[in-house]
This record gives sequence, C-alpha cells and structure tokens, in this order.
Amino acid sequence: MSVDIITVNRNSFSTGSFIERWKTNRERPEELVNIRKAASNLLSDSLKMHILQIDGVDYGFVTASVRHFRRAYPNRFYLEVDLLFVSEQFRGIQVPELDGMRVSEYLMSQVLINSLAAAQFFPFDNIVLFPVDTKLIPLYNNLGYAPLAKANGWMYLPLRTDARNNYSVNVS
Amino acid sequence: MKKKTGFQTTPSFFVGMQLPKKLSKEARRQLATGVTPPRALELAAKAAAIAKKSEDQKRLAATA
Repeated sequence: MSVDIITVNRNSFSTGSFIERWKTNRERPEELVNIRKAASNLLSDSLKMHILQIDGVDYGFVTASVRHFRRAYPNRFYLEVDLLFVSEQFRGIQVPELDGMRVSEYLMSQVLINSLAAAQFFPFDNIVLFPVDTKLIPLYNNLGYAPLAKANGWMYLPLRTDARNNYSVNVS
Repeated sequence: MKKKTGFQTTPSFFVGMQLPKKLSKEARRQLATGVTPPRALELAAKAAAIAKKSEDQKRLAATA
C-alpha cells in the first residue's frame, strides 16, 4: 500500500493530459474552469500543486501559494490554498488506506504539516482560503478554519501552536 | 470588438483571488493572535502517521 503526495513538476506538465486524470461533477462546469485556472497558475509558477496518489491512482490535489499582506502587514506574508480538488468518485468517502480519513482531510492536513514547518523559518503565520461554495464551509470548519471577520467569506487557520503574539517578538 | 462570454466573474468560478486589501481591525487581530486549533493538529498528526507508515512499508518492500 502506497500513499504518496507528489509535487507536480511544471516543466513536464501538460494541461490537457492533467485534466483528463480527474473526474469532475458534470453539473458543475466551474470545476473544470477552476482546474484550468490552477493549471495556468502552475505554469506561470505562482503556485505549487500536490497530488494525492494511493497505489498509483489519482485521488485529488491541492494547490498552495505564498501571498503578501500588502496594507495590513506590509512586511509579512501568508499562505493560501488556491484550490482543493477531489476526484468525484472519491468525494465524501472514508478511505481505508487513509485510516478512514477523507481525501480532503488528508490533503489539507499535509498542507498544515508543511505550513507549520515552514512557518518556523519564514515570516508567515496563517493559511487562508476562499471556499468556492458555501456548502464547503462546514468541511473547512472541521479542518480548523474559521471565518475571517468582514473579509467577504475568506477563512483562515493560524500557524501558531502557542498563544504568544509572534508579531511582537524581536529577533536579534 | 466581440464581447467575451462564457466566463463568470463571481468568486466561486475564479481561483486565485486575493484577500481584501483593507482588513478590519477584528480580522487583523485574528491573524495576529490566532492559535492552531487542536482539531487541526490532531488531523495533521494522523496524516503524518499515515505517510510514515506508507514510507516504512515502501522501505521494507525495497529491502525484501
């Protein structure tokens, strides 16, 4: 049994063949639009894409990017999950090879694991995302994300494992 | 010029939008002081264990 997170190499990436690997909900054409946009952003090197494969079968993927806060905190950044996609046949099921975790839970947990490690070394303290559908809000709540106040639906997950306010810590 | 059609501009169809430039005081407080919820850490620990188990099995298979 092999559970692998594979980071996509943009140099050998082909949008057409990538899209063919995934099963979308035909009643939601926007899913294909979002996959194409994620592929385009991958090729322009503005995000990284990570695919979950179990025994060589594609289950889903997640994309992540680093963004700048601009006005709020000009010298700080945040991580963003641009797109989380699970192939239709695997949605909502507890996968035995993942000890009963859902594909979305496993992918987003991998995002958190890597983000927590990176946040120890680089100046960012949060992951943010924008749910493409309000029906997904409970899923993200379950993963630990909370709504960001007055931010038009954006959600966030802090990358601090203790209650210190790290913005006030000086490093000399 | 022919008008572009077929691409909706509502957020649910578009990947890659950014946070609002101006964040509320409460949002700034949330981002500055929030702590990773225990539930998220539990899931992360579970996922890490699954990944390790898979790696261990691959290593065993390689040495067999």
